[in-house]
Amino acid sequence: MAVLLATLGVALLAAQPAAAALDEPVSVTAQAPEAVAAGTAFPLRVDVAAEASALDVAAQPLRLRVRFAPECGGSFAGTEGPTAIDRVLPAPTPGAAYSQSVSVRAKLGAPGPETVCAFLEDAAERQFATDTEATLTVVPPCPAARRKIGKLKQRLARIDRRLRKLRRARHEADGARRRHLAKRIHKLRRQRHRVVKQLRRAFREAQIACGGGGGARASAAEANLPAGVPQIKHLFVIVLENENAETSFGPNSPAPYLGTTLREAGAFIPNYYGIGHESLDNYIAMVSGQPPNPQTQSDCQLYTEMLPGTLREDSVALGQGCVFPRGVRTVANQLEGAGLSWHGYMQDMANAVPEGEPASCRHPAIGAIDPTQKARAADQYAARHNPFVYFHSIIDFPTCQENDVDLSRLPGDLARARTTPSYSFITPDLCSDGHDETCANPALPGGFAGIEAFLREWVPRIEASAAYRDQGAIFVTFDESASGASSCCNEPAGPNTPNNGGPEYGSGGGRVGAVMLSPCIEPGTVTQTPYNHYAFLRWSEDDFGLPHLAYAGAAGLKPFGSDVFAKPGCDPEAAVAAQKAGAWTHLRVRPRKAVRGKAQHFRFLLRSNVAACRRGALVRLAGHRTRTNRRGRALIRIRPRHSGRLVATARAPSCKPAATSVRVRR
Amino acid sequence: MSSIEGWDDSEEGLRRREFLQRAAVTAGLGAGLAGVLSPDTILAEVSKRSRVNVPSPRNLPLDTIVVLMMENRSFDHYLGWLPNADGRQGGLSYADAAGNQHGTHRLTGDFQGCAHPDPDHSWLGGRQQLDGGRMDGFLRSGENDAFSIGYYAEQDLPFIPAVARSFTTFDRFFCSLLASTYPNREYMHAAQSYGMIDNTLPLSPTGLGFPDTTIFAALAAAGVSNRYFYTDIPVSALWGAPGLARSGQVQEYYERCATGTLPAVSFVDPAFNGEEQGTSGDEHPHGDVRLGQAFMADVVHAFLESPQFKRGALFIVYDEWGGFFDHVRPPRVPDDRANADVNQDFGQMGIRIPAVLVSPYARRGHVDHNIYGFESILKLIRYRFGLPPLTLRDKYARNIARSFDFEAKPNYEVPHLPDPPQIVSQACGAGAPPAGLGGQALAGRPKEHDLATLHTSGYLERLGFRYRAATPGRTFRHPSKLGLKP
Repeated sequence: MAVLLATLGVALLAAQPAAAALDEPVSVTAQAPEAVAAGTAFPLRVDVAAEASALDVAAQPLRLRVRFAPECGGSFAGTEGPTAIDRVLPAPTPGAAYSQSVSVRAKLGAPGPETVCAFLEDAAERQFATDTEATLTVVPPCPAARRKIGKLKQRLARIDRRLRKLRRARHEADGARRRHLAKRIHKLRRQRHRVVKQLRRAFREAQIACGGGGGARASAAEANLPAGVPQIKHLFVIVLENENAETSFGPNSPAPYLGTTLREAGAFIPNYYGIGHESLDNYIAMVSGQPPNPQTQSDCQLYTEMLPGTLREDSVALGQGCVFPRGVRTVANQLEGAGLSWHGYMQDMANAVPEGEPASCRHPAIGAIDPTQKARAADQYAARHNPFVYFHSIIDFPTCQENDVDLSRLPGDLARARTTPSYSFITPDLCSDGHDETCANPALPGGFAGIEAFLREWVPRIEASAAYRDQGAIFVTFDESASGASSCCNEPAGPNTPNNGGPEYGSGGGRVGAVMLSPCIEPGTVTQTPYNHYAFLRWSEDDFGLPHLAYAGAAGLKPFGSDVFAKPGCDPEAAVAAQKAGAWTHLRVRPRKAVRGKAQHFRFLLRSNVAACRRGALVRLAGHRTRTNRRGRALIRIRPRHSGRLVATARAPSCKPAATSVRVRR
Repeated sequence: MSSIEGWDDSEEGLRRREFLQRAAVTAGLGAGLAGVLSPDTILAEVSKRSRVNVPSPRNLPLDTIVVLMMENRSFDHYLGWLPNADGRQGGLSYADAAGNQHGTHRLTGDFQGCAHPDPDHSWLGGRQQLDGGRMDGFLRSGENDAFSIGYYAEQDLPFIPAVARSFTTFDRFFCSLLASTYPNREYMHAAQSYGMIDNTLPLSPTGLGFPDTTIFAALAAAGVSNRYFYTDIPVSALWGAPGLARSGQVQEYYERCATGTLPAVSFVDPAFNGEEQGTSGDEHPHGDVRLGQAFMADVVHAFLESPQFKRGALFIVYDEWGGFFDHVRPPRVPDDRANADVNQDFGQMGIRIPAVLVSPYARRGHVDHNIYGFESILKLIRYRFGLPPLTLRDKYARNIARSFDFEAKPNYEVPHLPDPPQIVSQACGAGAPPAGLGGQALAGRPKEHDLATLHTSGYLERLGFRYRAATPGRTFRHPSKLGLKP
């Protein structure tokens, strides 16, 4: 009937106070979409929360078990249906509060109503908490739903044809014949009404089964950015190797394209710092916020497990080693969880792949020596510059093969904005990232010459893509400095290494500098604000509306702000709109009346003679916020608390604000 | 007109707009937003929508909580016909000890089951019926015969079908212990049976009764009014003198209902004595179920007509399943006397019972599918009045407040419920027992009600309680039920 699927991982979350609210010391809360398409994977998340020492009486180990069933039994064993989760949870610390979250992607086969039956049991199958409240409806898969619509449409057309015929006939007939025809018309109209109802239902199901707008996939999460900072929809990160900011961006830069051309075309961040030495810990920090340990600081010559990998409260993993355990999440997992796409583009990864190894998501076997530590002429890929393969939460899943790929895939993906990932992490090979001064392949330039050649080829290619032009950005930086181990931004020390600077005594990875290019940036912007890789991660998470991981969530850490994105309004058209005489915006809301205490949807239409003002405007109603879509439409669901007037406003940068109101009656 | 600037008012546009609107309602979100928000946000939004918000204790609009506890019926046996509930009645078959299959059958016209032994509902018998979770031992425990796999249809019972259809019925309400009357009633009062697995009286050298760790004692300590109402035999006597001190006859309940002076928490019990004659009023076999139903109708009507109904809740529950068949496997839950061995496990809950919630805040005509036990009601009382847990059992229970809908406007409208007349039931043993599976004559072994032991053993007398039999005048509220003209 249904099958189970891949797992995304367990993460520690902040304790939820909801458990205590109802005098229930232990709570299980399952979350699933209300409607899902048959055969399509959907996210299922179950949170477990317990008050301090509430689980001390439980016989370890605790198990979280979830089944789908039309109706849950009194227990997991008494529930008949496909199992979605059967997982042993980590043991709680005696006397401490407990909180776990399990996220999986589940799939259901047969259309119909289902309940998520979640049980938290101890070793004796004793139930400490249950959740049998979340229900979902499985609708037929997309092709079936479309076929159904087609059939119903045909039926409707047939009825309409017959109706037309009958009406004509009635018009010409009289007496008993006319009455007879009227009766038949009446019957047919009732039939039509039924078909229309079925069709509406079929449309609704198709909407769910085929995704919004018939195939268009989720584009972006709600960004979590301060006012004035535009949301970057497509981010490209290019990481180069081992140079100091003074050299790369200095007056006599050996890389004039990077040091002068790109610097002047975008925002220059001279005080951008690496977080440690040597390379790998910097890459890892950029995607996960995890701090260095002696293994990653020596670039993981041996591809060992990171042990024990216990998560601290701030989700920093404690231990030594290279491959982080499943519970450690990266921005890639977060993006997947948010329905956004990501790719790692690794130059040379698919070249001269040793036999038996895949051409994507390439990494040594656990415990083996990393053979890519030294470049070979035909294969200059370096696993240690590919951060994604150092996380079990990525490499254990088939999505790694799909997402961590060779750079040769990039041009194809750039062809359309729709096929370009939201987040692209580009690592040039050992020659092109400047790591090797003289290349393993003597035909190619190394050092700064290699960097220049790479950037001159790829930056214009990205800049020409539709994805970049529509609020994209390219971030170019170096993993660590050539010399010096200075740091910024109160970079935390440890806990896994005595010295963040590794072989070089110091608290960080030195000043490397960075350049951000974007249509949303005023050319020639320079900011003196210090940033580091953790700050970069924090900004990229904010940009995609994701929570902060590990040290990206350190208190007081400042992400990129309006100092980098100094251009008023990202959209050039919108900038013009501000000055344009006769520009107008008008906000319309339907319905205009509401009832106090009754939840309902309000549809907004933002109209304007400047197209750029219609889209992406911030609409507010009674403390709820959303943004208008491409066509100026937005939807907000609220439950008005008081009667009277509720004012709704719409604002877009550089556009005239618009307002309207809703009347709330008792 | 540009197509972007306005709503397009073509027929196609109209249809799509309407469709989007509806899809938005279906998904609980804007259709436009559904594609934009992250799955996490969507999940959170959806679960917010489907989950009940329970107000904080001080804002909980429940001031009066009444629990009416009848006797010995299982969910499938009594309410298996209820639409939208997980009930099974006809078409099931159970094997007896000899391996012969017997089908479930409707008990048309048989309101007492005089011809049959009282189905086994002891600690051991319950475990035989549970059969390791297979729920197929109903004909193999004790002297059970075909009576234990009989059921009543909606038309057969005079009152509870109407109230179940009108208010919220629970189809995952398990009795607290897979054992008999006493321990279950002890769980209702105190969330534990003090280690008792059968109907043993609490006779200790130091005195009569269990230590008073009941919800009543906790309420009294917190200064919250409470009262226990009996009809003939006070179960509260199990807690000795303090238990009797808080007890009143059921006529006091009717009076307090009418005058709006019900205490914050009251438990109401029917007339237990007279089982061997088939005249008890608690629906326990062989008492006539119509008699118990008439009593239930009076208790519910009195509550519905009380001014306290507006901020009150009445729970109708049965103390245990009475040995009658049911298909849902009861769970194991945390308990102070939990044991890994199911044969000694006090955490093994009993088989499902019929349970109904009557309140202006109850969803009308609704079936709640979440897992509850008697301790869930105790938890609601504790939550409302800020009391600490009595035992581990009620500490981990699911709060039954979640089954209410406190967000909707309270519905004070009193639905039309029948008021069945008192039935003058015949004593068992008058007629010849019919033949059939296990149709043994009862004459040789009349069995008194478990609770009657409180009276017959002299226990009540030693506590100084003067027992008086339940006459219609002491049982019912309405003059018409006493054969008088109103």
